[in-house]
Amino acid sequence: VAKNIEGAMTANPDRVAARERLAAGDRSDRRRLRQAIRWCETSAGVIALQISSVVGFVILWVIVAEMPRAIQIPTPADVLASAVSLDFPKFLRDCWLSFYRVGLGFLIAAAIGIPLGICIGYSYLARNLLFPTVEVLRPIPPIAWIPLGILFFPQVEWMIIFLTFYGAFFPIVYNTISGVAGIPVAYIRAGKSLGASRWTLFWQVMVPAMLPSIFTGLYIAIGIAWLMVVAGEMVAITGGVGGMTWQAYQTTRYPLIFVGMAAIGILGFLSSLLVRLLAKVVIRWESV
Amino acid sequence: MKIGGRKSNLALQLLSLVLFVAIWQALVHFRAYRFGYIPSVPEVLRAGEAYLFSEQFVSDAIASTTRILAAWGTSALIGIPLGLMIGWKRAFSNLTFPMVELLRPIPPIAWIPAGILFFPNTESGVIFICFVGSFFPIVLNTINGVQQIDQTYFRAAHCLGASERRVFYDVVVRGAMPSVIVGLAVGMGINWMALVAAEMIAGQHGLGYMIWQSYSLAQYPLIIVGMVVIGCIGAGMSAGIRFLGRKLVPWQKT
Repeated sequence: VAKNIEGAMTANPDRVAARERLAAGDRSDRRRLRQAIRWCETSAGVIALQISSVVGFVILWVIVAEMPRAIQIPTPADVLASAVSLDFPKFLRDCWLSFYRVGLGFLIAAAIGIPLGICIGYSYLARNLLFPTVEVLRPIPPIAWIPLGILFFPQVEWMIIFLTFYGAFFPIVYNTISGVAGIPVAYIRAGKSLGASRWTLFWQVMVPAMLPSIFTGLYIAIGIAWLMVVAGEMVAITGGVGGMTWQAYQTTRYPLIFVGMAAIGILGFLSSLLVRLLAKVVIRWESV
Repeated sequence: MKIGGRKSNLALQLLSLVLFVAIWQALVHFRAYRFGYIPSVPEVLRAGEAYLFSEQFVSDAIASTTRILAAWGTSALIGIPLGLMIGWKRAFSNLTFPMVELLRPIPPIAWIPAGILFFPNTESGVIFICFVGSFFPIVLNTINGVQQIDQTYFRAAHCLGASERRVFYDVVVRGAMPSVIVGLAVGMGINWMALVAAEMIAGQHGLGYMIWQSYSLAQYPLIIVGMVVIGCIGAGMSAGIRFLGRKLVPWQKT
């Protein structure tokens, strides 16, 4: 073995030349690679990559859809055709219904959750007397409330709004609490030493300081509220985009399922955008 | 000075829980509004005792926990490396992140019909739905974790002659770890939500199915037993992740 190694180590002119040629090729390869990487950083490269990402997604979808299986997955073309032939006024009504349920539950959750969070964050009594109950209820997934909700509420409509409320409630409360906890003490001292009353201290110092955290909570909450509305509508099958998707499943109009999913995604995205825009207006000083 | 003080009072906290149960019982007992329809506390306790010592409970709990762990493990296995690469390499991010962003707004529950239909059996469909639930929080938190790493760490590593692989292991992975653990915990929460929904609608066993079944069979106290059991297992798992997080990331105060 040692002899072999020695043999390999001794310089053979041909081999050295070959190795150098290889190294040169290697170097130019590397240069080309580096150029390619640099191109990826230019704006044209970024756009090209992003477009190829989306195109790649569609191609992947087509490949998966074309694979033989018991129930054929609709291709993008099927889904588009189904979307075009949609009963549009009814679809818009469904969208509005879901949006309304999410909005109402979300607003109630904000109206109760923000004050409650402030109380728990601020007051000794509230933290010890209310927070443990909140903490005990939190791990129960909101969807597990559906059967009890159906029993309790006289109308399914209320059950769905309760679900969106319940889903949105906890993120709002928890983020408000952490917002209160995160107020820099220096702000409060400064306010006090400048002679602010409790009222001014609260509205002018504490509220602005905790708003960014509250908006984080609202942003998470609207996402979960959408999750809940879809679950509620699927179980109860009472209109809305979730109900539409479920009905498409039951009537075996499979492309329509994907139209419903896309609609749910777009509506959810738009409502998150709405919260983000609101945050941009309300907390201008913070980069959101 | 800390706002509201840091003191906590165990007696008051216990009182809070006792009050909660007492108010529930009182509302049911006096049939306030529609609370007459809700099972009372003794009923729930009795149903709970019967259920918790039955074989049904063991098989339900094992079914649900297996699904959760399978889905959560898969999404961590795919999501963490993907997130690390997206956060680290700009070109990779441009190539894959739009795809992630395209699918992200669709909530896991909206995948239920598609999941049931296009997977060969319900089991894999349910696991897929849970997977969708935990995948996105894990990916996004991992990306966020990488992007929040101090740039000087990268520069220092490069100055000290670290190879790309060393930079990856010593800077990217370690730097992102605290945020990855947050993602894992959030993912677990959403996993349970998706699981309950999927089992209610499609499952043939499991805790979510048990709740729905008790509703259909009008065994209402069992519904609340199921909710409590799900809450306990979910909370236990989240606590486990937080505990693991503290062990894995001892330098981070959480």
